Amino acid sequence: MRFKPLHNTPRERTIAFTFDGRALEGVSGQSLAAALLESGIVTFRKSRDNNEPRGPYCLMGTCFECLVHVEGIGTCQACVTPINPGMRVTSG
Amino acid sequence: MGEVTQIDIGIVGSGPAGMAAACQAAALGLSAIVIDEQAESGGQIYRGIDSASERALSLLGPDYARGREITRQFRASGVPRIAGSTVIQASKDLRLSADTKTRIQEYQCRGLIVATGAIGRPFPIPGWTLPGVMAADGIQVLLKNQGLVPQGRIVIAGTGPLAYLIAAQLLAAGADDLTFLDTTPRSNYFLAAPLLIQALGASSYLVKGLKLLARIHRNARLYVSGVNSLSASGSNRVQRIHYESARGAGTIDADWLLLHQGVIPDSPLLRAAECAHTWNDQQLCWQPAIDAWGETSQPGIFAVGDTSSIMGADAAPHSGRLAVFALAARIGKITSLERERLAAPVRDRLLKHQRIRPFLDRLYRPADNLRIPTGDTVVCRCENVSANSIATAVTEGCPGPNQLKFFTRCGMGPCQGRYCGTTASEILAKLTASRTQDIGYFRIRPPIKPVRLETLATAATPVKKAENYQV
Repeated sequence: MRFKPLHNTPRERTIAFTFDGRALEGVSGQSLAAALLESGIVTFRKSRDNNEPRGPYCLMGTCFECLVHVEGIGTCQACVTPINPGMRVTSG
Repeated sequence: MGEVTQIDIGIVGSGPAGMAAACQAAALGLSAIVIDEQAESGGQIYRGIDSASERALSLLGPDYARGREITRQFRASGVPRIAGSTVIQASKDLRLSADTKTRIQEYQCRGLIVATGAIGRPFPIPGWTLPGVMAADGIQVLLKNQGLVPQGRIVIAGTGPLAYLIAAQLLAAGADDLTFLDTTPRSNYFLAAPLLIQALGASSYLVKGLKLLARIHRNARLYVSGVNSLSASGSNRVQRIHYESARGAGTIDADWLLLHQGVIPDSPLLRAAECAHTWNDQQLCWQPAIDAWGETSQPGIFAVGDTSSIMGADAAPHSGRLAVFALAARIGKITSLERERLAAPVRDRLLKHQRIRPFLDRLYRPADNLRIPTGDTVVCRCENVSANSIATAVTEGCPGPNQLKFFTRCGMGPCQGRYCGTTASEILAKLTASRTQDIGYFRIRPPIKPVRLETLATAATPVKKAENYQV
């Protein structure tokens, strides 16, 4: 299950990026978290220690559950990081 | 090395309170700057307002659409806004240090106004760390900012005006399989009733609330009142929601669980500046101790809007203006007589909007068991600390929140206690039969958000250590 645009308004998904090697597309100006949720990805990482799946929770930069690793940037919060063309993203 | 900029008033956050403070500062001829973590102004309440489509504006309603005029006025004030920068320290000598993501920019101010707003109250239930369980207010951000709605079977669980508003907005956005599990304790209705008379002074809020509830009743697949127990389960993501209510128990297959039980002030910046905080027994949250102008226990540092106490978007601007009047008089732009004259009508409006609060706070006071978890339920999401682990720490002699860090690592992850601090204080108070006020809170130190070392190294002055280290 994924997130869809309001009233299924067609949008140009022109920003190509990868998540754990999977090729995905997002909308310009979108946050990485929004692009992943729109692509049907809800698990962004595994928790440290007990290796449980985790996904975004607060979506406003507070909870740090949406941590991912972006090549060239490092660990960052997917909900406050805008997507860029060619971004290579891996589970945080 | 970064630079230090001199400015009269440094404002953190550009929600309703921060924007109003900026406009007022400009009107009084004070130099000001607004630093905001977000790309666009408006705060969470008016998130995405300047880029929202007409369709989104009509769906989100007039209370949201109004934000467009507010951000326009803010831009017209000419007060510079530093977007996408996180203030990592507000120091007692009135200096702000902002992480611009490439360097640390510092502002030496004559007064600080902290308008960082609120965050969702933690909702620690079994299974709340499963992917697909999210803060309902976060989903609203995606709706406002990105025009995105979750597809599939949605369960919204919780209590409070925002939970109802978000449910109504998702229904209007086309969510056709939405269940609302209302966790408002039944007894709250009786306990809030005596406060209704006073709340009639702000009756527009009541009318709006009743309309929202009617819409949810009409359009939700299922509405369950009096839900007193809640958990989520699933393998790899949320699949089922289990609840108990006065009328019996139930299980719902769901793709998303959206949680909300009110908001609490987001004040780590003030904590790190060692501003005194008090426990609010009505709103069940910590808040900075302030005077009638919003000034904290640290001279020159003000808390306004929801940062000072949960008051809502209509009250917040007035609280922002009061802080500016106080600072303008101190800096010498206006006399103390002018300050009083300017403040009187603003204070009246602030009080008028706050009249509804006691009623709302009592009616939507979240149940004890949904705030103070037991057993395996995770309290600290970052470090995977359960309520059980906290209980064990207490039996082993852990006396308070700061020691709890040593015992369990609770509060020591990247969110720095934002999503467990309030819960930890309440659990410790319950287990030791103490008042939450006496238990206290984690000691918060700058930088209040993680910052890259290479960025930190650009600071003109080192980010200071807090004095009086306590264990």
